[in-house]
Amino acid sequence: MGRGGSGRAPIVGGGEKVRRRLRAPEDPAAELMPAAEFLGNETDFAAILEGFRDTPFDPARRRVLGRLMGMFAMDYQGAQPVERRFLRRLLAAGNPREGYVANRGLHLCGAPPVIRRTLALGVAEIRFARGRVVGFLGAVQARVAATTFRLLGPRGRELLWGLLTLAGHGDAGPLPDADRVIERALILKAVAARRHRLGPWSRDGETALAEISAFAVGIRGCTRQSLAARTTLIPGDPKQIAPIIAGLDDPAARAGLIARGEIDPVFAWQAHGASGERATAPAATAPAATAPAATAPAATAESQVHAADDALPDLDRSALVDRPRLHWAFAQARVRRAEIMLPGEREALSDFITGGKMHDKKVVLKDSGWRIVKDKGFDIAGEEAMQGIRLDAQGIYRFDSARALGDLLSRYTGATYVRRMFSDQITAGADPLKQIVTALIRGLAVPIVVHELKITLVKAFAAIGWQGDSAGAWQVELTEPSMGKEMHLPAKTLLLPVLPPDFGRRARAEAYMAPAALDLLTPPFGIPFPALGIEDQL
Amino acid sequence: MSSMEYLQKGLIDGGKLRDDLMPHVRTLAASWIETGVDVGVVDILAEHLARWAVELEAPVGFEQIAAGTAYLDLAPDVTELLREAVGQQASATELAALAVHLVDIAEAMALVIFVPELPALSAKADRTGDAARMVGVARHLKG
Repeated sequence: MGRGGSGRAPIVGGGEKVRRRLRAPEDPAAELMPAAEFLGNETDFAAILEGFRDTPFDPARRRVLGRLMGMFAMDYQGAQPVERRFLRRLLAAGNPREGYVANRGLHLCGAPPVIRRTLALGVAEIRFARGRVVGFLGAVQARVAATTFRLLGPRGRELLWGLLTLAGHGDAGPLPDADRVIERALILKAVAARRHRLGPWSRDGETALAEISAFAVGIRGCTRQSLAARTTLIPGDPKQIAPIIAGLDDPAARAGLIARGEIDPVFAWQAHGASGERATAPAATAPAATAPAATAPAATAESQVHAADDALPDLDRSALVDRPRLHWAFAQARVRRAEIMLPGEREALSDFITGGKMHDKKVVLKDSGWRIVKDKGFDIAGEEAMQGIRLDAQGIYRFDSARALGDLLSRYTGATYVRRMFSDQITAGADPLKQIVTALIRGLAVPIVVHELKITLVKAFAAIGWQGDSAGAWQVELTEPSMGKEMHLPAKTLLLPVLPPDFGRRARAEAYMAPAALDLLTPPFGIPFPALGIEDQL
Repeated sequence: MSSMEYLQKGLIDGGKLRDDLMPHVRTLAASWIETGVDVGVVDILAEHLARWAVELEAPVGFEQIAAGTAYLDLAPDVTELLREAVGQQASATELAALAVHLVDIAEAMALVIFVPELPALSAKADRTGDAARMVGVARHLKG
């Protein structure tokens, strides 16, 4: 007997098979995906699972899918109407599984609901009715897009929000045949494709923003078919193959171009428009949809509901939104030493925003560091935001440091983080060492904060490896990245009241960042490589 | 370049990535940070190669990869790694292995760059009387 999706004991007993009808009211989602069977009030999970035995959806064989099914049930049952409508749209799309995985990852990242729904639908909706099942972007791309958006500077965020708001609009308002959800997803995908050019010290950040802006204007109001064919180089529509692909004999170079087009819709869009003509007519002047008249009122009502669901709220303009980007700037300045700013200037700026005391000499350093931020930096933060961040650090402290670390690291590690204090975990009866080693077994590094009590110095380490078969024998490999120092020590050492001298004078491990894996599909980039043993786990 | 000698044996062993790559990954990550390689570029290069591997039907040579990734303006160290890893030609699987290897390097670089920022990231002012007087109710009452 296999094990169920929860990973606990065998779910289905050896007794008589039980077949029950779902008692929940009929729901379109229930017909679309086995996960939706959980939607109702059925409490006998064993009976439900029995219906999937020996099918491709048997959760006993597919643990991640089983877990997703349970999550879906909880999501759906606890959701507001707008979220339920979104989940039904997700399931009705051609690529619902990856769409739902994207939705879960975006949930964990804390993406704003409208952005999360937009990106998840962009993953779930398929480009072409025939051939390879591909969404407008992948689940991992969706997550990267959300974090890249959140790490933009104030000007970039305003610009992007404006572009997202105008998606699907013409001069006279919303265009009936436009698909603003897909437009927005593609704009966000273009942002993700420029993540390496939108950093705080980027030299061509302005150009990158201008490219996104031109792309958003270019695709605005286009039909969905046009968006599908012209924002990829995959030849899904034989009538709309980009000239650079059609005229290329070298298969390896062709594959490289298609790959680049899959990353960057702007590149694909430009490649299709090489002749200089506009890619497609605006939806307002395109031929009317050919839907039967009898279904038109219902469709209109539904699209009106969806339009209301897709409306963008006001952009979050809190000063705290800029803090992760400031830390990004400081982190890069640290590794590039004096190339950007002097360590003293960086530390003074850092002390300022974290609410530290500012004596005269430090104020001078802070001011000189701030001039560098303004002159050399790309859209890092405004002066008011700096003051707001400082006030927050001195007062109520609403800043979520773990989420900020996740924003900075998740594109590289595939994880988001929850800050946990060692002492709190032990008091609550949890086992922090087991949590750390479990994360390491899953391939996720665990950042650890160590505090030197006497001089209130805080250092950061990362647990990056482990050895040992049993809890008592666990050894962890720690690195102090800023010093390039590595050490191996018994895991239980981390719980000592005073750590060994390698950690500093009278130091103790204070907190760790517990990682949660975001890539429910396969790393890297959600692409399975079976020839390397990297399989789709769903 | 001696730090890349390990690539001569290839990245794949027994149908998966070699087990002994992690020390090389860390060495390269430290070296690339030192020479100013942008971790963001390594990340997107890895994505490009991974997707390239998916689409690839015939082997690809280093020159083709260099031409296809020229838009990323790769640092000389990164180009050197590509040259050593690809050799004469790379199959789709070898290209995928290279992409995964670059992902590992980018992750190691990211840990070196961002983890030291963690103390500042989670820092807040001590709740001294001074700090309390600067904000909130105390400041309001003080007028």
